[in-house]
Amino acid sequence: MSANSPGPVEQFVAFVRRRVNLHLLWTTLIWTAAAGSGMLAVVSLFYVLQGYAVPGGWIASTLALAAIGGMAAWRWRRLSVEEAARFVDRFYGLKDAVASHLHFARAGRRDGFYELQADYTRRQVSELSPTAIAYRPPRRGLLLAAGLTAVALPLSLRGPSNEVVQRLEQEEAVQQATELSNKEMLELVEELRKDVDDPFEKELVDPDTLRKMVESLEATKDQKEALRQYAQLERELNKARLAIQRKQDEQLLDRAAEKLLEERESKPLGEQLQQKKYDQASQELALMEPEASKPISEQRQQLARLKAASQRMAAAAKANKSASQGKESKAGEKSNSKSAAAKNANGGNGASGESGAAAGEGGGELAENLEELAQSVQHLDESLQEAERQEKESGKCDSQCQSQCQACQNSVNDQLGKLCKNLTKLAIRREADKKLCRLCEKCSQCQGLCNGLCQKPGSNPGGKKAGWGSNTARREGSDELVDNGQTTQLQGTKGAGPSLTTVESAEDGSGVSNRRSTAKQRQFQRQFESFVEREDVPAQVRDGVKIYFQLIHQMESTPAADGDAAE
Amino acid sequence: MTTAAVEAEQAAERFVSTFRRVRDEMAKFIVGQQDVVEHVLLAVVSGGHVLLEGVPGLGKTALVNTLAQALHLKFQRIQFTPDLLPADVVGTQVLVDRNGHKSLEFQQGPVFCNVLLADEINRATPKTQSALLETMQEKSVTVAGRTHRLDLPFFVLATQNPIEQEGTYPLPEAQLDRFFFKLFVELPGHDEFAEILRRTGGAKLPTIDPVATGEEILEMGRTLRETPIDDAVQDHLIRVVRATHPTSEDAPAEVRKFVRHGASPRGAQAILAASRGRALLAGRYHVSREDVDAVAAPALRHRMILSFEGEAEGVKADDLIEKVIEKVD
Repeated sequence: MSANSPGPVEQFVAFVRRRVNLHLLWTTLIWTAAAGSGMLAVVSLFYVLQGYAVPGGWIASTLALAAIGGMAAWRWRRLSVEEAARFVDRFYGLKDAVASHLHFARAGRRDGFYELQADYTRRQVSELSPTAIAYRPPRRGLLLAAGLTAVALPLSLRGPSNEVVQRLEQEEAVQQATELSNKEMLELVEELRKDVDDPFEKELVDPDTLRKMVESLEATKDQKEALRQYAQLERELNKARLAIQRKQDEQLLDRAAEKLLEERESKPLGEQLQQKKYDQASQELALMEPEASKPISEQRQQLARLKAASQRMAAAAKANKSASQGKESKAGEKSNSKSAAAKNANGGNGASGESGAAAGEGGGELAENLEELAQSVQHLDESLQEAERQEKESGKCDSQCQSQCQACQNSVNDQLGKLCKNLTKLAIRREADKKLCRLCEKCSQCQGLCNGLCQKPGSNPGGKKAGWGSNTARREGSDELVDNGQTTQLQGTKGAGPSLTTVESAEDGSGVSNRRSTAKQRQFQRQFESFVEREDVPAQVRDGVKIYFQLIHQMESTPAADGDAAE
Repeated sequence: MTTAAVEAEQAAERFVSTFRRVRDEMAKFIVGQQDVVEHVLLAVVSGGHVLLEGVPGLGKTALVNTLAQALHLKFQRIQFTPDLLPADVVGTQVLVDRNGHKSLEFQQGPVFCNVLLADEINRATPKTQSALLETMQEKSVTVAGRTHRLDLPFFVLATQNPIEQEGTYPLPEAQLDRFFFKLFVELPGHDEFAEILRRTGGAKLPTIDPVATGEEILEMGRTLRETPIDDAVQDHLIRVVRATHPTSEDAPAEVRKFVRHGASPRGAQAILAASRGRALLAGRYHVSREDVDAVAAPALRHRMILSFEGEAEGVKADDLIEKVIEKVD
């Protein structure tokens, strides 16, 4: 035997080492299976309790982690040669003979007692068989591994719950809906940007800011977040609209329109104002501008139309002013007591309050414009009348009268130009408001789309899937409604929520009346009255109508009169 | 097999045969107490001294007497009493008149022997006890500036009584450390009692013949020292001894709590020698951990100084050593 070749003791130890390491591997595998199953059970439980299916990645990584841990544990636990020698000593009761022999041999100690020791060890080992080392699997490990595997496998392979599936579907749908909505909003803003040509309108609408606001919208899976961002955008748009709108002016022009409709000559203007066609009204007014080049009589005829219109409009302005003064005095009393509350309540609507004040000022300006126009027209009419008188008397008017006429003419032209300009601006404002209104409507549509997603047919857990319902039309009982998590109400800050939940409050008379039927009735009545007054209507018909209304009034007043008589 | 191996084998065989011969001869008179006898013999062949502790009448003195008879060695006995003086132990100088010429001559005390029985050693004063220190460690006696070597082998077998503590002087730690083993002589069992009565109650007492010479004992000691010990086993031995110290990392909680001082390196030497002897007696040529563990208690029990708490709790050193071995294994 050569010095380097392993002796029988070394061979025996190596054999035992391989055998024991193999046993350790099996044992480690069993415990690894138990640990892996345990980890998988915990991970699966975590997901299943939340209703989700366990992701495949998690299963794979948990098992891989357990396998790596198991291999590391085996590498750490497996026996070295020295440990194997000690194992042999312990297992066969050799009292450190093998370990001592290996150490002595390694140290090169071979004389005397060392040689005897080596012989002794060889003799001892030669009688031993490594097969006596039987493998005993760990019972507890086996039971644990089997139990945990039985628990972990079904848990890890379990699918997601119906609620989670629905939630995921809904989230996906919300994501798609928000993406689509944002895209449509952006397209709408682009269209709006192209439509806005007028610089003043551009200044009012500010399409760049709108585009930024729309671009800031994000596609989200969260329905509430989606609703919140659309509501926020809508609120911003509403704020912008309130800043654009001139309700006071429109109200004033509505009143003016009512007055104008009373007269045949000013009826077209009145209709245009009533229909809010302010740009056409402006053109109509421009046509009424008296031409100084015409003879005085023609000028006066031309002016008569403008005079009638301006006086009616001035009357409307006065009436409006007196009405608003009366309300202001009433509101002043209230505002003293409610000023603090009003400040808080209008925290979100501060802009609207400001815009209301601005509108009031605007309405005042327009009213003054109308009154001044009426005065200017009156002065011009008087000057023309004087000029006509002088012309009749002396065939020509004096220079003072001419200059006065000219001054009045200029004044009328100025006031008329101012009014036309105001009307044109108002028309532009209305146009801008319409465009912003379209955006607001789009916002509402987006919110409706997001809201509608959770109420789409089949998404409610109480309903049945296709093919699962009863085959008869008769329902035996009602399905129990299951809470699908969509019963929560959106609780936002006041004024920050969607438009559907906000209530616009305005002071009496300062807003636009929505009672369209009353207005229609009144319009109908005035049409009839003007119809009655029209000269081209035959007298018989007019009388007939008069008699008819008188009869109606008599019939209405008779029961009251009877009642009084009875009393 | 090489010549060295053959010689080693023969030496080992001689060791075992001599050991067994002495043991068997002692067994003629000593009934039972196999462990005590074996440990005493191990201490003797290792060149160590033994402290035997037991209540009176258990055969401590008889055991030592029997051993002395079984070995062909000079035996002396000192009965320690409180009035015993060091000079009574080691010897003294006396004035001698030789042909009118007076001179001081050293008169050897009873320690000048091979086997010294120090009976009831704890009854002598510490001064007298300490007179044995040099004798036990150096195997020499120094009187009046002159050192006298003792014949080898020399070993002291001391006895002490655990009861009757009045008028006794507990051995100092330094003295205790000189003892190779401290052995407890226990009460014999029923059958052993009967055998004792049978052997000693008759008209004729068993006769003990010397079966080993001093030279054989010394050779046994040399053979013992050649027995190999693996580094790992020696490491185990060191760890056991170190773990008896409360400051050691390996020390169990009980040792930390109840021990004031642990065993000295002399204790490790005692364990090593005794383990080797035990291995040879078992037919092995290497020391195992089992050998170390088996002789740890007699070698360390008197070297561990218990703390006040340990004394108050009545903690036994043997229990602590058992814990130490459990921890180190």
